[in-house]
Amino acid sequence: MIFAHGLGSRGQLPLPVWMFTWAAAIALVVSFVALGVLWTRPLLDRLAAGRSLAPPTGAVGAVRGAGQAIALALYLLCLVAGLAGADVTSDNILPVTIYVVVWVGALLVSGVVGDLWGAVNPIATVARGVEAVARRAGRQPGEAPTWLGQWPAALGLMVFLFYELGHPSGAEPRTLGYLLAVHLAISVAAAAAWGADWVAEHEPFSALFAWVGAMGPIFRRPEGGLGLRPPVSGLARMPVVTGTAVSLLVVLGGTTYDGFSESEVARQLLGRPTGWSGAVTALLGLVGSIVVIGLLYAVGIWWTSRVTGMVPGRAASAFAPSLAPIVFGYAVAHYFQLLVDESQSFVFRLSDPFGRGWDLFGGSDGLINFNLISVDLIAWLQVIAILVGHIGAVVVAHDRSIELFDVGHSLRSQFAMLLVMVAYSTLGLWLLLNA
Amino acid sequence: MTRHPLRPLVALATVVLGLVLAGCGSSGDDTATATAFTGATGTEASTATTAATTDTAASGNSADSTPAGTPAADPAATVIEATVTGGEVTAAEDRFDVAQGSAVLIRVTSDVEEPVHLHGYDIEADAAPGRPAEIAFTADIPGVFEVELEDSGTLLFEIEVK
Repeated sequence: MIFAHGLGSRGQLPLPVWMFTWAAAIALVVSFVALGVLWTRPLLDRLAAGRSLAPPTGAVGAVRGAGQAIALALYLLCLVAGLAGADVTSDNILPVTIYVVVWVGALLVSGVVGDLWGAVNPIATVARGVEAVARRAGRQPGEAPTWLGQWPAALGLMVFLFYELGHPSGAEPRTLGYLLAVHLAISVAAAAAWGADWVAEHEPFSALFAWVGAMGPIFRRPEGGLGLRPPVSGLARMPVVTGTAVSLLVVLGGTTYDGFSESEVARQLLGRPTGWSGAVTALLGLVGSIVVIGLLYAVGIWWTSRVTGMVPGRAASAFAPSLAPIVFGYAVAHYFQLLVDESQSFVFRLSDPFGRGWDLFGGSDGLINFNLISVDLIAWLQVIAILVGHIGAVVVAHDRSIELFDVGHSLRSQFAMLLVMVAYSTLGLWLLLNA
Repeated sequence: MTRHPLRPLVALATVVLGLVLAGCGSSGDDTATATAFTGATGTEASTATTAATTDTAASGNSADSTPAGTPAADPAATVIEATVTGGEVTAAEDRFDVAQGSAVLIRVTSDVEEPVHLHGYDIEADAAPGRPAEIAFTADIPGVFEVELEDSGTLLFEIEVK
């Protein structure tokens, strides 16, 4: 995270060593106990059907409509703030909204509750408007090429991560305003060409929150209305296409680099370059981290492919859903303190979104209460997040494995994937240890 | 559905291994970190850093520019010093450990006139040639905080309060 004025003014404390060792041990133990005692017939897909929570009545639709209106208003507010508001990070509502409310907040809510972003997505709202206009003008949206898959999301997430971690002015309102404008332009063009549904599924943040949201217990039933299912079960039905696994690995790599760049090791290896040389270092670090994370996954997939005979590409897709909980765990562990601190800034910014000295709701001069949640509790929640991510990933990988392979092959393939998960979780904990 | 006969044994072995690892991990532990997380607020002398004695008379500087912080230097304060010469930063450490609740005095000597900013606590003091910036405060917020030269964005050091 870029330490900028008004964003990330406080870094998190390193995790105590004893918490690190216990959590890593628990991750290891849980994985192999899972191997021994978990179910032997595929379970998650059946559980993913869930049961009805709220029928598709007017009430649910009205709440959703209100949510969409609020989200759209906030989106437009941020866009205007970025392009025309004060170009000072701490005074403008855009940076904190993107980097805290959306990037961390929506991701956290997705994993814990469900794909709420998907319900209120402002980009999708805009896209639907564009599609309606296009149709009225006589232009019917076509089909996007299949080879495109989720590669646009992978690319988009990569660009966002570069802005977050390396761009010299990546936390500044004007820079983010231009990025948002370009993003909007692309979304509008895609909506006209391929329809609003394509945009809702392939816009980078929307895609990510849908994947993590598959972990959540609340979901939108195909027959309408809201459903309730056991946490993580939704991942058994997570749609996977070309580019899905890579997108998740990109996000995991990005969070890894973010954590690594704040460690003592990184400081000694890389120093603290600023400006564009800092950007180049960050880009190389980001790509390097993604490669390392990707290689770990590739090793697990290669092993699985070897012992089961499944084509590696198919195996990589089959196990992609198990990456979503890891992404969730990493993101929450790494950014939770930022969320607690800076969500307060967001509330203050609502009173003066453009940094013009307004005071709409009486809170614009508020100060962050850094003792809202004790640092001890933050440490516990970080560790719990990593472990929840780990357990989720193990369960999903296990279920997918017994779905695809016979018992003997399943066991051997799981061995590899479980080691990969343990490696990811230990790395995640190590990053917290070296904050 | 047949279960692999060795699976429960593998599971048991791993539980034992895990407990052993965790046990070794905690016993070889850094006691300072352990105390911090049982909630004891810092009074450990081990976390104090530089040995320089505070010059109580030279605290007049901090009064003009700092919006907050104790005006008179606390003789028992932890003193953290840094020097900036020609853009190069010299400080005893990259990150200084500070006990939560203790009094701290940050003194930055610079060859250019520039404000020094402590993040989080959000305290600023001006440094000028011949007149070091001094920030005196009580470290009551836990976390890691950057201290930098405001205009150039040069990071001086971090303080870790716990």
